[in-house]
Amino acid sequence: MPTTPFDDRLTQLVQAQQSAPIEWEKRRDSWRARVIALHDDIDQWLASVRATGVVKTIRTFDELEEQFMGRYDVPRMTIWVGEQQVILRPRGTLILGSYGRVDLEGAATQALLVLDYDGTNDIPSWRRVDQAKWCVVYPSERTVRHPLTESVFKDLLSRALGI
Amino acid sequence: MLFLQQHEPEPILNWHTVCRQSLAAQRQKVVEQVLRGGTHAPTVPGLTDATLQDIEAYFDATIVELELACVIMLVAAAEAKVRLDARTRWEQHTDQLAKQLKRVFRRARLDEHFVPLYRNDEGILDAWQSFLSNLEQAPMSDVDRAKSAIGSLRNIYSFRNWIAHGRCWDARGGIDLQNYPPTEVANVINRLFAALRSTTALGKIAPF
Repeated sequence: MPTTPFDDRLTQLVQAQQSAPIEWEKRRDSWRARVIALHDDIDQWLASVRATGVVKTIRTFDELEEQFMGRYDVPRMTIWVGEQQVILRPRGTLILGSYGRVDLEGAATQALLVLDYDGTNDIPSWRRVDQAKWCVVYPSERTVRHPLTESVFKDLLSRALGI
Repeated sequence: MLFLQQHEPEPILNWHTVCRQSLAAQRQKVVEQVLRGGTHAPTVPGLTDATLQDIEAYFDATIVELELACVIMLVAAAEAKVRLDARTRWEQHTDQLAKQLKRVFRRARLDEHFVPLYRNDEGILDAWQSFLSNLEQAPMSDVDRAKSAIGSLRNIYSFRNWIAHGRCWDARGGIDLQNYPPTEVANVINRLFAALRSTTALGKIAPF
């Protein structure tokens, strides 16, 4: 049976998808690993105040549901400073303009932690998640990304607590 | 301008279709951008760092806003057609409808734009309905059908006012957005125009 231009376009579309399939399980696992590593960094940055009992960090899990990845668990961290809490709520890896997002929610301010990747697109997306860097984005300046370091995080936590 | 001196619903509905298709294409592009992760500059700046759910909700809301914009353009165009016709009638004709319209416009005195389409018996379309009621030789069924179609814009006109005034009052009690998709509003307007045309035929006056 002869093919029509319409048939050809559909065939090309499917072939393009097959030539670069996204490995969704790896993507999900990379994203989850990056969240765990973020929590590890935070625990380390807060080690001195955790040791004195001023700060407690608690890790639990949130169930997310994302396209192609279905339902899965991702760690959430709650930072307790006395009676105040700051939550790091994972939102997903399918994010426009980044490779993952965690919302930081404090009583005084909120911010986004996003996985920013500026390398080549020639590698699989799960590798890009591995290589992306955590950045802070404040709601008042959504286009500006501050690379996450210990001092940037401590500043962010201070703002979230209103101190 | 696409709709300058254009008062029929069809070109506006066609524009709405083009916009809907463009939005669907843009939505597809953004979703693909998220799934493939192939480019770093988001195509919709306001959606930077948005989740897929945020993106879907944004485009759903954008479609609703587009429908509201389309409705206000449909109603505004229909209103313009009715107003321009009314001005021609009371300035250039002497039949009963022209006289009724002249009374309606004289009451407004300062500005013809203050004359509403409906307000008790002081609106332009009220004058049309009154004219119909006094057509003694016209079949009752035709008169009733035309009067019903002429009155059917009333609720949509309230809806138009709500949008045009910046939605500055709570419309939830009386206005259900689901009742006013552009295609339904266009149907009401087409029925209104057909009723006005049949009224001029029944009354043997200058055509609408």
